[in-house]
Amino acid sequence: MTNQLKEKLIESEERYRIVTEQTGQLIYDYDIPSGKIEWFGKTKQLIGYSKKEMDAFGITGWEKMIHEEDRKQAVEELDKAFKKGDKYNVVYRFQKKDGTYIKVADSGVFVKNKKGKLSRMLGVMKDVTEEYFNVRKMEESEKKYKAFVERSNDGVALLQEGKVVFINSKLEKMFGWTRKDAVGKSFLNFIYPTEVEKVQTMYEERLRGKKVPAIYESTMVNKNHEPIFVELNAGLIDYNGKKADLVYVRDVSERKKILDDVKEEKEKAEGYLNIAGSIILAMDIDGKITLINKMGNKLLGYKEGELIGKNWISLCIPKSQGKMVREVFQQVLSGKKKFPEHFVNNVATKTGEERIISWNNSRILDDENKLIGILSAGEDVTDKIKAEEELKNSEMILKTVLEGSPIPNFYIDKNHRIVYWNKTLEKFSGIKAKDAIGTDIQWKVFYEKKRPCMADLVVDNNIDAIKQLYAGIYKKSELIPNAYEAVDYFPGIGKNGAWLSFTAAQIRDVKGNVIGALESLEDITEMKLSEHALIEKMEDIRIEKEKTEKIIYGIGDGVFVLDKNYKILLFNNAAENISGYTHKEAFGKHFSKILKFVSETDNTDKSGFLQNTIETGISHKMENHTLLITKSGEKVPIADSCAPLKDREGKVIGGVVVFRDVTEERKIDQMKNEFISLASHQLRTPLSGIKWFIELLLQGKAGELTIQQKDYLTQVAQSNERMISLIEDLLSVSHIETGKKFVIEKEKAHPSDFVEESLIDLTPLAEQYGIKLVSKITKNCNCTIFVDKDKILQVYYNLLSNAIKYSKKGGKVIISCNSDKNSVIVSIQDFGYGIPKKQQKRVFEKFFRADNILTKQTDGTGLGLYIAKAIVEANGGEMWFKSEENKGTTFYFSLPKKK
Amino acid sequence: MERKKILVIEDDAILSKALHEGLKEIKNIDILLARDGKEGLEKTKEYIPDVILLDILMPKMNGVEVLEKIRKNESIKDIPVFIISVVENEESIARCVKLGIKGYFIKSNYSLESIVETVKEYL
Repeated sequence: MTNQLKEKLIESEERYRIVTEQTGQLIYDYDIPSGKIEWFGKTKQLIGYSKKEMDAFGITGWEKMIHEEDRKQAVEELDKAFKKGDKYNVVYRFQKKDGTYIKVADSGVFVKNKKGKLSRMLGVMKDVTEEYFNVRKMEESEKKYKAFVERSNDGVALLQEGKVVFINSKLEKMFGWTRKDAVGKSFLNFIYPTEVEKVQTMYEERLRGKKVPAIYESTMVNKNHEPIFVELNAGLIDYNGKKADLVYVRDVSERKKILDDVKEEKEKAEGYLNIAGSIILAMDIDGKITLINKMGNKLLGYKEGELIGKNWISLCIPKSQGKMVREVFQQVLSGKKKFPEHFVNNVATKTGEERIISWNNSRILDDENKLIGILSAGEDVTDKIKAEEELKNSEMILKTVLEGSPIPNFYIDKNHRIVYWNKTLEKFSGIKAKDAIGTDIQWKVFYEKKRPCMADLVVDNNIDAIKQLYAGIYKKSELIPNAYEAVDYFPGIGKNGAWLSFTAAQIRDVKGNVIGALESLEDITEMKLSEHALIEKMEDIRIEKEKTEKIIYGIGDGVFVLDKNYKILLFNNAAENISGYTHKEAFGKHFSKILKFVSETDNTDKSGFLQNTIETGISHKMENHTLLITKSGEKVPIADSCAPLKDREGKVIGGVVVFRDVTEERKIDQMKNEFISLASHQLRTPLSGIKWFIELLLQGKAGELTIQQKDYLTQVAQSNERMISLIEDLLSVSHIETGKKFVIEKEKAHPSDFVEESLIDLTPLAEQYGIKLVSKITKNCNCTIFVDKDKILQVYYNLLSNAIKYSKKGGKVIISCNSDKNSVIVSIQDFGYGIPKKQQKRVFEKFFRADNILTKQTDGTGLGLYIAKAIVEANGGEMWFKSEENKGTTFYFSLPKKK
Repeated sequence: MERKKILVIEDDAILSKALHEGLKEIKNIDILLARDGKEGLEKTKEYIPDVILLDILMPKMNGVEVLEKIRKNESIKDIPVFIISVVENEESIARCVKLGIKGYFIKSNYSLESIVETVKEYL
């Protein structure tokens, strides 16, 4: 209880006392539950007893002092009033110390306690012995009567038949009316409107002889129509032979006010006493309880008033603490300088339960500064202390659990004070536990400047702040309730800063109240670095991949990649454009679903080159005259090749196909070929002309020729033949190129026949070059092949003439024939210049002539091999060669035995 | 002995002359030269040749057409025809073969002599 409060309490008691002392009346304060009554005022003067004596009589004493004739009625009337909670007004004879009786008017109020129960009577006792009633025994002498009435200190009014007959001057003064105003008027005019009914009733009943209180309070009005509280003392008399009412009027405004004030003060005092939460206890110097408020009673389990007068220490202090409390009590009483204003001790309730109370003590002094008691205000701290203990227990448990943890962690209480700081954290942060505990320096682990850590925010349940301070990097923990975790970079930790992953969780007691927060952290710098490195690397890879993709997607040729299961892994823009399928449609599908490669000539499937590449791991070209059937069914001529994709170990993992739409090329080729064709045909005409006329000349049809003339003409004829030959070759080439059916008329033939024939045909040429022709035919060459005779003969012819031309003078050319189960193999070998290795792959190209013979030989179109190979292949065979520069060349070709 | 007739339908003057010179060798023949198909066919109205040498590439009417006409002409449809051309067009050859020819000579590939020898046998 605060000092202020204490003062107020004492003050109001003071006032109360003073107020009561000032009156010339007796005031009593009767505490109904306890039965104690306290008297104020000049008791000795009025009744002859001292206050102490009066107090000691108590309520029973008082009752005895009532004249036995009046007692019953008085008590009854009081009881009635008590039941109604009314004010009361009782008149009875009261015995003085000297034995004589005075007539007293006992009037007062009942005071309710906070519960609304009537607990107190505050009353005033007035000596009314004065001859109010004597006056009724007066003679009817009006004059005497009037004089007497005039003498009265009170206002007097005489009423007859409801009208005012007479008022004394006192009454005039009291109310401001004159006799003139009042006489002859109904007395009710002077009654306050709200009281009119009551007064009228009283009056009428009195007249009828009913028992009505002689003295009662009411309210009248003065000349200004202001209400005046009055006490009316009415009685019947005979006046002028008729019944009249003689009323004594006393202004009790002041009395009422006093009583009201007293009541108010008392109520205030009650109020102060019953402030929630505080126990207010007062005891006298003997340790007897003189006052205990509602809270106190409630806590200790007693009814109101039960404790008053009991010994505090004996009854309410547990035996274990009795001695100690007694000591304190003594200290307080003795006024020793060391006066414990604050003290904590246990109290025992009625049921024996112990509660812990924290007391605030002060001394009660009387006006002579003598100690008359102790006033204490107490607070039940039992729960608080229990909670504190429990908290300490939980903290102990937590400490034990966290002690051994290899993860740095710390624990803060509700007030953000570090309660616990584990060893691992000491190492991590460099801050010792002893320096951390009790402080709020948890921020130092992380930051340069003071700011809340996750634990601080979590313990306050400040989710908004978490959202703000850890925006983008926090998340609610999925594992732990009421916990938040985050990952962040702290530049201030260590040399280069650190990445930490930290979690802060609320710790709650059994009731669910937050009592602290636990934060643990993990250094994930290394992990992050490798993550970063990885991310960077992946970024690099991604950029490279993008570049590559851009290139692939951008190049003009169609590119698609197959895995070893022939599923499309990549399909670039050009591939999309040519095939009509989108990348999306193609991706992941078996190529055959998307790309159909067919032969231009017979619509057969030509996707073999893909299979060949992937199976053999060697690049394969698309066959000539391959068409691609687009999504819309169009046939597009395409060209190019498939190359294998290999892994690090060289294993084939797929293939890359590059192709292009050669429609344009073809058109151009077509045009070219048409042109060649046309030109060739046109050239043939004049060449024929030359040929025939030379022939005629050589035949002598134009006359005998000299040898020289013959010779010259022969030269001309030969040149001409060369030109004709060239044209033949060009025409052949253009036929091959246009894919027109190489007119293959297959017939039965014998390989040896060709040898014979070509040898015969080429003997002149061989002689010219000084070359010996040799044939080696094995027995098994005596077989049948089905070929286009003329064309195959040309092959022999071309190869042999090459061999002869590129041999060194005096050399030989060997033509051999062999066969196996399936085919006949013919070889033509020379020992001439050979083909330089670098140029060998170009051997079968149109117009190709190796560098090493260009200088030596001007003869030759460069078309012979190209045509020969085409013929052989058209007949179902293959052609290849072996060559070494300056050693010679052997050409081979095979022809199938089957039809 | 009756003189045999050879009709040569060839638009090129030089070649025509060369053929004429070459064919001169054959005894007792008359050589009729025509410059184009129309002229050739006209000549058949005058004389029924024993052999016809026919070029393909000719203005106005090409050899194949001429051949068609010949084959349709009752009086001359059975006369042996030799194509002497520079054209190696498969189509043309096939058509001619269908219409019935005794030989197809690519001019530049054959000597006059060989042509003459072959023709002789059909006289």
